[in-house]
Amino acid sequence: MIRFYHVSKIYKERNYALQDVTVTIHPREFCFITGPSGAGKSTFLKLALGEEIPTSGQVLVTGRNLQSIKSSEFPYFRRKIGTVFQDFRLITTRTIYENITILLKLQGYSNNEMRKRAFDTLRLVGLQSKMESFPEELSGGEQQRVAIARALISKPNLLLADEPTGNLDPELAHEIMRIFQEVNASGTTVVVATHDKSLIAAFGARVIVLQKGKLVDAGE
Amino acid sequence: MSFLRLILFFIREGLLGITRHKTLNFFALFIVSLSLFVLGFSRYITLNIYNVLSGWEESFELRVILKDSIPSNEINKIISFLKEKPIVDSFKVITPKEALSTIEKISPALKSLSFKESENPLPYSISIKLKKPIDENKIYSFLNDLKSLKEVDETIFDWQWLNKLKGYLKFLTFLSWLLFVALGVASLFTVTSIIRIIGLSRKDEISILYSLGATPIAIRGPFITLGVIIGLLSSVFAILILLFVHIIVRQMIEDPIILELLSGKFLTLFDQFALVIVGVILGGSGGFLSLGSIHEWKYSHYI
Repeated sequence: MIRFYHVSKIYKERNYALQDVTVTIHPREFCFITGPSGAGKSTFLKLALGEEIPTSGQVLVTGRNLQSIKSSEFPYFRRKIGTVFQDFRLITTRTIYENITILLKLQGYSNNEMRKRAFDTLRLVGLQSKMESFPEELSGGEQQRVAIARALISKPNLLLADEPTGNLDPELAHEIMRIFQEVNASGTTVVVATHDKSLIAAFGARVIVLQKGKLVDAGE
Repeated sequence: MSFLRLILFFIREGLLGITRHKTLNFFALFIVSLSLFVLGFSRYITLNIYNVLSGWEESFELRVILKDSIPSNEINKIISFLKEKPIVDSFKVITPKEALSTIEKISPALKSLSFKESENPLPYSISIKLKKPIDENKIYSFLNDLKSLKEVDETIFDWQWLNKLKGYLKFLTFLSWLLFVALGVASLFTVTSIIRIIGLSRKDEISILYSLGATPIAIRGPFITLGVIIGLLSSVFAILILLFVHIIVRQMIEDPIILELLSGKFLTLFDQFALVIVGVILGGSGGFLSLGSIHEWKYSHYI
């Protein structure tokens, strides 16, 4: 599903965010990427999402080499990948329903199809009754579940989550992880970047460890 | 069908953009309306002057004044001469009596002088209409032929001043276009800047949509629509203000010649439609240019 082959990413002043990382994440796998702050977890996910270009090496996601994808094709590529961020990134001026369906709307889906998908996806995260609420009316845990619903509504093959529980208390964090497990059980590859060791311990899965941009343990 | 749904979504978002940022949009509307008004007004003025000039050109005549006490057989000679000339479309011999009656109509004061027919000081003259299009070189050659006739006292042909007026009109049109281009650029800049400010207030939304997989054109859509709506409303305002000016001018000016010259007719439907199209293009272009490169819009709280 994701293959990094000798990938390095250098930001300004020869500061390595990732250094010669070679790793493979298989389809339907659930895996954590962990390491201390500045280890390169977010850079790993940004590279997988095509938001950043590697300085060297090759990144293959869902069978496509990201360097060979034209910039005009990236939006279509991203639709196959669900993304969840620590800060939820919900549009505060739109309702939950609008937040999760906006990409479908921009693809010209009918209202009926959007309603059906929104209901099914929100039911999966237990928020079907909050469709008409605004993000600010929800708790942090609920907002993150909305973000997950938005990531899942396009039925992606791959779900990338960047510190999805970073702003949540342990109980809510576990709830979010359980949702990820359910999503994974339905056949979606899930990659979660987190520095929360207790969470990793509680949910036994493959763990990729990064430190100062280097791959310390591929967890295979 | 999905394309239609997308367009409807853009229109709704564009209208929401108008209501969410009233002051900014009002400013954009004012600037675009002003430049469209200038374009429309200059078109309105030049159109009316052109119509009047065209009317004058249509009825333009060459006047040949014959010598005093010319015998009628000499007049027949000139008539035969004119009939042979291909440049002549039609002509009319004006008797001294007819000439006097015309002058008396123009200047009633002359009536009090009440000339006897034998005292009429006016000579015979011939009014000649020339074939269109008028070829200046042929006219001057024809004029020379006329002047060489011993029966002809004088020829009156004020073609040059009409041409000069037409030249001024062309220059006026050019100036108004120049002014419109300057105002058009200013309008485009204003619309672009204002929609960009609106875009900046929705910066996170843009970056979120892009990271989720929305195409740049889908992200730009609501902003282009907002620009189109601004352009459309501006052109409607500009036309309404022009109509108001037209009505006011028609009520204020009494002199029929000046009235005809300045305010004879309102813009044609085609002109009004063209103004709307120009407004829509200006607004739409501003909306398109406003966001610049979509991938440069970064989420402000990016971790």
